[in-house]
Amino acid sequence: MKKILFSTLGLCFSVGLFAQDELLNLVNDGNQKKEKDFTIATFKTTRLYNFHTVETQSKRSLDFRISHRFGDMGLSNGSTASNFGYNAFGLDQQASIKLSLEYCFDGRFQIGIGRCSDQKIVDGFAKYRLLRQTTTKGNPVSITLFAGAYHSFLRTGDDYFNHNPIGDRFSFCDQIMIARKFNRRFSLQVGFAYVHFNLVPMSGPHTLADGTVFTGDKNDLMYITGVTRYKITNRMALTAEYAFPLSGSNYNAANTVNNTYYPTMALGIDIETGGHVFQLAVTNSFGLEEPEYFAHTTGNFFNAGIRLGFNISRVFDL
Amino acid sequence: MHMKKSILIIALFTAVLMSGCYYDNYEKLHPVVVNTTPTVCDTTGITFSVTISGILNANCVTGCHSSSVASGAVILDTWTGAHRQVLNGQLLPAINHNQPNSGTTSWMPLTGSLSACDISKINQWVNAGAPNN
Repeated sequence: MKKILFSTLGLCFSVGLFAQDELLNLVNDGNQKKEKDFTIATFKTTRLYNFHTVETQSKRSLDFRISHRFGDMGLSNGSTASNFGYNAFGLDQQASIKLSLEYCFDGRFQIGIGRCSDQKIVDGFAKYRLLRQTTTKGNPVSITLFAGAYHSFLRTGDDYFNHNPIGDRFSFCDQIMIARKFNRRFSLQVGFAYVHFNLVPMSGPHTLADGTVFTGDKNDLMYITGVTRYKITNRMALTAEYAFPLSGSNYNAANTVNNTYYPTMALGIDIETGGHVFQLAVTNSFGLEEPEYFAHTTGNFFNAGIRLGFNISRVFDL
Repeated sequence: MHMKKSILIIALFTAVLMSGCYYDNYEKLHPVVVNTTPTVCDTTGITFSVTISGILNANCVTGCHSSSVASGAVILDTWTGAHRQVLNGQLLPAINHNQPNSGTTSWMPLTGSLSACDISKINQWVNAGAPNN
């Protein structure tokens, strides 16, 4: 009986095209899922420069990334300002490079493997978009989880790793990232990073170069990360990232002022062209893996301890 | 189905999160061992010409108690001078610091003291009669 009534009503109103969608919605209200409008492109790609962003790749896509950091520009490696040009602004100095392959299963869950020349680290990571920001009312932010494991194959020539030859070479990084795309141009992300080293070199107590007492290296280090980007054209964006250390710093012999490592930061430009994203930036970190750039940055960003570098990313749809 | 997958993913993340299981510190694992065995003081074969004059020349003579500069009329670069300080009872209280620090028992050297080994050697030489050997 009800069926006959409804189908009659439907036929009656089928001429009014404008009203058709609304009526259909009424009929199927219980069954039809409302499509959520997910915000796209909070950031151009899965990395801002060194840091991960909340973005994952699209479904069933493979990303091949090359990251290259040129040498230190200046004062923090002992050279004077007059050497900047002579050393081609760091291009002549020792560089670090990372190659990685990353695959996204369904647009939400991504895995990746990579190898970096700094500390000869091979890494694997998994990244999951827990929550995605929606353009309509729903989710105000995107939240992404990240977990990475890093294994160093460095030959130290001494007994540094001998206690646990495999375990001591591991380090880990776990992050939670929360981001919001405020408008077409501006996105902001804050995050919390937890870095764990299975082996650290120094215990205490030691007296540092500035006279304070150092109680020992920590195996667990925590950071608050901030990442932002501002689009200046459709293809180009200015980017910045910074990590604030919550647990202090481990012992850094290269820093003769106060024996600490510096917080990592970068300023750069993203350029997108078709299937490629080029990211150019200056940063003070030599390492390209999370434990290395969070915890072992030796360059002072404000005293010419910076280096040029780029990321190139090519996405293949499989 | 979607909920189950989220739980699986979060479980996977937790597993990776909890996987850092060592807390090793290189310096704690390889402590530098400091040699704490004390050096033994050799009090055999003490002679004035070698042992005692060696101690006196290194700590007392230059600029203070030499034949040319004799502070307090004390000369310690000859046996005669040293023996005189033994006879008048001033040598041992000066170096042993066991009498008030004034006048004829002023503590010597002026700053610090001789090493315990040197003091015991001089004590032994005086007890043996302060020979000119």
